[in-house]
Amino acid sequence: MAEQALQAALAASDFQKIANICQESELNGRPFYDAHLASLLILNDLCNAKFLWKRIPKDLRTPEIAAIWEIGRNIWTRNYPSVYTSLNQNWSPQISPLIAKVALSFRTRTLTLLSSSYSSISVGDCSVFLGLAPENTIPCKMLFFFTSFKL
Amino acid sequence: GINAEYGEILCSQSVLFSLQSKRSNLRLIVLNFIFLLQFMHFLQVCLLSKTYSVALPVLSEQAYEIDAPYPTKDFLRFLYYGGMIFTGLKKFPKALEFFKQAFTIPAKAVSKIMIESYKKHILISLLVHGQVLPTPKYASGSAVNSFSSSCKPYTEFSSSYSTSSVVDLQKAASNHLETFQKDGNYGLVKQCIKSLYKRNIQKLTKTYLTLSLNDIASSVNLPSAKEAEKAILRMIEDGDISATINQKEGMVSFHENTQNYNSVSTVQKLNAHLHSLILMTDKLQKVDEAITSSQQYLTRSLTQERGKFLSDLDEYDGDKPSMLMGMVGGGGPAGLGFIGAMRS
Repeated sequence: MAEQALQAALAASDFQKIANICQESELNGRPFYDAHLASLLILNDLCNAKFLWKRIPKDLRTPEIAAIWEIGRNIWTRNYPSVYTSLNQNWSPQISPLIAKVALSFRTRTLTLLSSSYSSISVGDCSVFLGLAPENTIPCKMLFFFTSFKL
Repeated sequence: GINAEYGEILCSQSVLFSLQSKRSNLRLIVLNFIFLLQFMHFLQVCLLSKTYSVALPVLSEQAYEIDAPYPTKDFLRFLYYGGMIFTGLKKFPKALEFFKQAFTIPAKAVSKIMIESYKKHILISLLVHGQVLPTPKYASGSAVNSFSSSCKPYTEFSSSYSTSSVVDLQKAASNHLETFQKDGNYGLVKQCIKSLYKRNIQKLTKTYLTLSLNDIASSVNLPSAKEAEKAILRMIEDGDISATINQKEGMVSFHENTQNYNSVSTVQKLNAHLHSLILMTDKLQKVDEAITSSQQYLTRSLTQERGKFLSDLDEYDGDKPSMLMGMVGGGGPAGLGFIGAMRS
């Protein structure tokens, strides 16, 4: 039952719903730690992501779940280079789409922050913030401005 | 019963099962504005199992009545656990409310819970207000005395905070490191130190329109322009400051807060506040009526010398204790005693 609801929410990319379903399911004894953790990171709910990590029993902390939390830890400490290296792992096929969404949401959020905070920023720094090679940063940024209206 | 549930707490996985069964009971109760002993245990389970967010629906309901009789200690624990959950979720203003309620509870003997609440209240006050507001007059005298003797490290820390010197603050933190760690408050202490950097930067915006990153760094005791840049970016992200960084020139321009307050969400918030105010006023009126028609009150008022006391009751509204003082003529022992009874 929970699996079906989860699959539906995943297909619809409704991340709040994914988080809610996972939370309910966890309380009912059937946790989906990886999807839960990833959805909290997409929603930028770091407090609850941290508490989720802390309550996952040690024997259920698979290397993959630990790797997902590693992303969260790096976001928490604002360690931009490490965020991108921790995103860039070999993920299992079930979780890989969600991780891609984590990367996308983080990059978008960062880009929004940069464009409202900086009147000028070096390409080098921008590349670090966005985890892109310098030659890719400028085209990426241009694309962002054309596809989203900044107030 | 409660014992079975406590047994479950020992195993972290099954904490979540007991949580679920509590929650389904609580879903119905939460709607009735009645405080129950169960809430306290529920919060304790949430804290132990680190499912903080699940506790929020219980904590966000207003409680007007208490399911008596109940031990004060359990009510104090409810407030303390509630404060801790809000602290964990970084909802500091709410945490402050809960801790304040805990240490201002009418009391002759001071519970350790009140003292611990007061300690956390000091630290979170620094985070929210940048200072510790004076203890409310309605706090019990004996409590206030205990606080000054058992919370010295905390009052020293808050004095250092008011000097705005990060160096002094860090010194105060390391002087009492053991106490803070033993009390489980070191995390909050570290957050206070970070917040002092932020406050000092915010102060700069009052004086300067633009400032170089180097000047900011030296002003607030950050090691480099790069650190200052990181701090400013963080503050912009958290909404603590309105500014733009010009990396090429190494300058920061500070802006006026351009909040328009004419968005849908603002209207919604306003409506929600108005709604809860109306509810609160309604409740207050009911409590007021209950007191004025209570046996105690009527008996006292009937034994007063001044005959016009009874007719004055009709025009009577506003601040109860002071009005009563005025009418009873400065409040003899009987008057004061009654006011004391009404307050608690």
